[in-house]
Amino acid sequence: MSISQLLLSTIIIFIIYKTAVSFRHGNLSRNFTSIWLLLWISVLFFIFEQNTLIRAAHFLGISRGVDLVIYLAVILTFYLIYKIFFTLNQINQKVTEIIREMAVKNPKKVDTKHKKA
Amino acid sequence: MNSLRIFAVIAAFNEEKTIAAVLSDLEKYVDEIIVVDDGSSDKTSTLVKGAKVTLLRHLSNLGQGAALQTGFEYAKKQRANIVITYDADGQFKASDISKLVKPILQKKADIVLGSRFLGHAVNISLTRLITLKLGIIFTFIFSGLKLTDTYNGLRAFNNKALHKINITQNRLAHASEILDQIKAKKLKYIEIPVTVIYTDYSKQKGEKNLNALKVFVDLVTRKLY
Repeated sequence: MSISQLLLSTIIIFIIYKTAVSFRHGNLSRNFTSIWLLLWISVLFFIFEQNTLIRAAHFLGISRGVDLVIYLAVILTFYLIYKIFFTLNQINQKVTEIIREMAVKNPKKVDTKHKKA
Repeated sequence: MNSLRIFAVIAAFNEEKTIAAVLSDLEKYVDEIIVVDDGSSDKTSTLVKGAKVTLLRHLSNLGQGAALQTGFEYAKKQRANIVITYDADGQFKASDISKLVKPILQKKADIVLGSRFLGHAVNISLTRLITLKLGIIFTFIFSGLKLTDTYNGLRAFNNKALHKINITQNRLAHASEILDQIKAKKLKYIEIPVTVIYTDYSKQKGEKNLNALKVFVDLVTRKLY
């Protein structure tokens, strides 16, 4: 086992462990946990089975295995950014609705009689 | 003259320098004024006064679009017949309101849009002029509406338009969103000449050309979801 394989597999095992702990504490949904674990287990597999990765890349018309990894990483990153934007937008809309409802429910008549400096 | 209830909705964020004068000018021309204090950190809310004035307060700053929609929701509850949107920075002339309301009273339009380029843009800077002209082209490309002015905050909505328009763009992109909805919901609109007076204060408050870029980014990202 090379040093890079040792280093990468240690990091990935740590990610898998943290994911499992988060799931057990109820912080992650079953669907997300499954997809996330599948992703990292696949990465772990390809670290040790690089010939399979190269064959998969060739099958898709990509010359190097590492290029396939980079393409997939870029696609995944863009997808995650989109999801984050989407979630942020939803949260923003909910916050807006709450603040609006509170404002509309508490109108203040400000007749000149109520003058205060 | 007419029994229709005319409301003005003002979104105000840190407008302590102008809000009192704006309200005092406006009172002669409308039946009720709704000021939405959009989380101001200055004395705006304490300076909002008047027999016709109702103050709504956002606990946090959401943006002009969100504040206007809050005002619309309250106006709907109060059964307003016509709603005017009006800026708090003192750029508008309250006397333009009579002209703004007229096409609605004559049932010629659901929405009346003020146009500074049909009327007067007093003391406008060159950069602001160019930005607004680009906005007109942008609006024509994206919403298909051929207008002479696109980011003018002086507008009038009849009851039908008030119920059909729903502003979801919290910040400055709401102006484009309103135009998109006019087109999508097939509302009758008309432009009328109004006067916009640029003061040092209003320039300092609103004239950031970077805002145009923010509006563009808001509109494009919103289209993605």
